Amino acid sequence: MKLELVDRTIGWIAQSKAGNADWPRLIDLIGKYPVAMIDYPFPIIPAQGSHIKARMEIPPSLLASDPEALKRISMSGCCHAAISMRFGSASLDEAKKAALAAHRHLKSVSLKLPDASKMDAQALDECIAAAWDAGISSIIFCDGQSVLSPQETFGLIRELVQRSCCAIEFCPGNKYGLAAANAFAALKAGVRRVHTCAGGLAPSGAAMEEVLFSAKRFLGDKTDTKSIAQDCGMLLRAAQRDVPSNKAIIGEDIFAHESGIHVDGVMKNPALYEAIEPSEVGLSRRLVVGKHSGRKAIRGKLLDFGVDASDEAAEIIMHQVKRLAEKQKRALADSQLLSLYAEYAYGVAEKAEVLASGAG
Amino acid sequence: MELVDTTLRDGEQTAGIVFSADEKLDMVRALNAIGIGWIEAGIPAMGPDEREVLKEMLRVNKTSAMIAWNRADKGDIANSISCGFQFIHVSLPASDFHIEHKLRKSREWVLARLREVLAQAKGEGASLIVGAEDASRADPEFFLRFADAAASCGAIRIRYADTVGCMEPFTAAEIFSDLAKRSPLPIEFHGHNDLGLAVANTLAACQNGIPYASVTSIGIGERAGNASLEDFAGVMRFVCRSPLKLRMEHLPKLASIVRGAARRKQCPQPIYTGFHRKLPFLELDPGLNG
Repeated sequence: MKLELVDRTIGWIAQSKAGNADWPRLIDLIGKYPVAMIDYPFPIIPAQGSHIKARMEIPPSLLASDPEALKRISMSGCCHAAISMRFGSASLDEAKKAALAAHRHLKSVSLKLPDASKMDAQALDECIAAAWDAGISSIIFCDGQSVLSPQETFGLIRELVQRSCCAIEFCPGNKYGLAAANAFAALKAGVRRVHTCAGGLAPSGAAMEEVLFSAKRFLGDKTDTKSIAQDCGMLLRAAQRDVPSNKAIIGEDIFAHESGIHVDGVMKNPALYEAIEPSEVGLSRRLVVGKHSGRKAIRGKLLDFGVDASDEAAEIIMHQVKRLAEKQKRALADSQLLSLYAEYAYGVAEKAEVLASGAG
Repeated sequence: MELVDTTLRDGEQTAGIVFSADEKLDMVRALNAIGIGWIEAGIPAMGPDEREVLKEMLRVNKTSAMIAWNRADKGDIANSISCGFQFIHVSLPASDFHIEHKLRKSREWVLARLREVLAQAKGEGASLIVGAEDASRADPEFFLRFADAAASCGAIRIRYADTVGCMEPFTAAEIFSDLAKRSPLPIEFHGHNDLGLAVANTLAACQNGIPYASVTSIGIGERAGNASLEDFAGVMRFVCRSPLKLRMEHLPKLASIVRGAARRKQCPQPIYTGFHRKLPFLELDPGLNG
């Protein structure tokens, strides 16, 4: 299976931000992943400097009101269009006419069905037939209202892939957190192209890093993900968003371990409590000392600093660690742990300093 | 399907998170208001201070069944019973990988240990719930033997933990439809979100005969977290059209307490991060939708 992504990150950043991002850099970042196409919502002009195909979504009615629009789009460097047909808002004839007109100026035309997941089989068949007549290269099947489960996605898409004469793309909705699972289901059902955005940022499309990782883990995809956390971080920052610290695949805390059982396990073999090797996504493991720490974790952490504490010492310090973590309502900084040890071993009572370093 | 909320146990266990006593009591009240059937309240073995808070939580709780989480250790279980917990959760690894590399023991040792600690807890009159840690990487046949042992000691259900979050929904569907038929005990699915598939896997469990699911508010939990209560409730109501018996209008209150207590500005689940999407029942609290 050769996976191809249609990117919605760049288009979303372009839409939400007036103009001045470092587009070539952002596009280079996205270009590290198997992105075949970047989609832009109308009337956002595609970012300059793209070596990845740009596609613009246009409503069929645009061509009636502005016959020159296609020419301008093609001159802006965008050679591909998706005629967006919100069911009921435009007739299939209109979409066909728009597609035929678009062919005169553009290299390829897709048919986008924003509410495809709510259409019945007959309506979908009519769209497939119209797509054939109008030389449409792909049908974009969207779950605009997020009504599909992975099982339903798999069933619907598999049937559609078999019936359709043109390629099917799948664009999941993400209202209820199922977009990545639905994109995975579509890939499993035989679709090659799914719509994604870094970090699950845009309103439609699945989190790129999650789709890539599932495809890699379960479908044999070979994409290099060794810098995906940093790359997605930069893309999100361009959209003025932070990566949530526990975001699957790319959050900075997803390899942080604190609880006694987990730290003990990770010290024996990290795979006991990690499904992913941190370097595989460009992150690193971190052992945190806090309320849930056990004796072994305290000993292990102190050993990292060259301090070989006895079991008895670790036990006493563990209780102090718990108390301090409760008091400050967060984990301890390394310096706090070392101060507790110094206090235990040398009787240097530097409580004030301990608490001050915790506030910093 | 019934939910087991483990925000107060697996949620608080997230590296760096500490809930205060007041926050915990507020969470219990909020979970009661939502109508959550089961609350995994915490780990009494954490120490005397923790036990005082847990006792207070038992007093405040009105409507949910409260569960204490335990390692397979007699001392831990005695602590839980002394706090007044009726429901005792006992966790032991089920995968060969965990048994060999973490415990450095054998399958037979695990089963013997399970029987031993369950017999003790049963003698004290507790209702037993057994957790099969790392079940998703275990031999399903051994999971069933594990369940048989638990059943023969009087356990009321068994947790199938996807401890490292390595499942995907299609394989999960096959596994659960098989295990649901063959397990002597009702199964609870406990899914982690390392691959971003926790809610999808929980849905697969629900659709294949698994009657219990563990969740946490806003999906907090070890590493990338657990299946999120809010997302799963949303999926059941709006995607599957078979809503859980929850008072969903109280979900925002809980989410807001947990978000504050965990000091989370953003959560990875789409309803919070983001970035734009709003669940109808969460529109009540504009702060939640970023």
